[in-house]
Amino acid sequence: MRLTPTEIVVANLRGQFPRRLKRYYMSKDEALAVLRAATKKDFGSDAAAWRRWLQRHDASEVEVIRVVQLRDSMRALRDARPDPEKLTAPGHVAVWAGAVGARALKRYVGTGARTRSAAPSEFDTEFGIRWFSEDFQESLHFERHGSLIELLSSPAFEVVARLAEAERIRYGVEKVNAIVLRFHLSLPKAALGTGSKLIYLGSFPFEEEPSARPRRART
Amino acid sequence: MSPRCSPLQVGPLDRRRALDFDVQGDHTYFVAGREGAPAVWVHNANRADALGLFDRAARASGIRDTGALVDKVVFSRTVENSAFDFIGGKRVMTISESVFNKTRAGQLIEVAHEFKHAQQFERFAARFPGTYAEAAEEFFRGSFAARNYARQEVIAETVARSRVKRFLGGLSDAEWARSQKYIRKWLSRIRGR
Repeated sequence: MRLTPTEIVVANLRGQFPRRLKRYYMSKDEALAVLRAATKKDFGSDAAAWRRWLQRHDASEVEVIRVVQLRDSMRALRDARPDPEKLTAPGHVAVWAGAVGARALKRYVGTGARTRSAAPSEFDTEFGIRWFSEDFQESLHFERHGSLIELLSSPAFEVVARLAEAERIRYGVEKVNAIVLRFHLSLPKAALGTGSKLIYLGSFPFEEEPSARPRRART
Repeated sequence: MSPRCSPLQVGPLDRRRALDFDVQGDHTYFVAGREGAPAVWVHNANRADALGLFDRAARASGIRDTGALVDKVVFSRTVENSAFDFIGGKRVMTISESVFNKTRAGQLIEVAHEFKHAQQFERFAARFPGTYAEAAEEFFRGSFAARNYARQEVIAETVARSRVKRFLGGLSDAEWARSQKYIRKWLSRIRGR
């Protein structure tokens, strides 16, 4: 396929790709949500208007890819299933146990979704894409790892996804709105509202030696 | 410039192979290739143009045995973009009729681009430890936002335009710039900016 990322999304807006082309296919609603999130514009389902605007703004190409990449990562997270073999690997468990406080998890994971989540409902994932893409812009994690996108596309994210999924099952929560990095424990409360279901993750298991001694949870 | 391989051999209708295809509409007819050339499914279009473009792109790409890379070629008016895919256990190259709205070099680059994807897949499958079907699943896994996909696109476009440039003896500045713009956009994905 010789199409740029924005061209692929706009083609999806016109319903051009059949569902079997998994690499490219999006529903029309999803394509519209991606375009809105990436450009902060809204031309509705007018594909020609979107194309005209996108042709004048080359930088939107990267933003579109970022949003789609986030969507993919969130889907991977949603679909991830705990792998007992990996979960019992000493390094992963040590990092997980050391970085995440059980009390914090109980407090936030267990709350019911009574209020509206900040996660855009257009996406078929249950995670806060807007929150991820906007509120993490200034985060320490961006400075350390380049970008959240790189972080989420890294192999380590798969491990994190599995860990999160294991915790989700452990606490009997059906869906999760967000995964929160340790550096920003104070942030998501305001960003997501009180009714959101969160899983707090500590430092990610890469670039750091796993700590054998559990660290004290920051709540 | 002498061709690097013989033109595509088009044989009579091969009903045995034609059974594999779901013929749609009155204007669809099927042409089976001989001597390892892939079957070509022509949908309401100029057969000579389609076959000619496929053949020229193969020659430009230095591909002698197209049947080793592609099982089925679909030339269609209903599909808007050319593509290489693995569908129903077959390696399918779809050539959109819209390709003929482009310049001669643009047409060749587009199909040569898909040939390069076919070569990428063959190389990947040859090195893959699992079965052919598993290799296909792995190769086509993920979405277009994946870094690996961007990498494939950059390589395919870079190689295709170089091949076409060599085949035609040059490329216009406009065509080169168009290709460069395409590469730059996918490179931005790889570089993260």
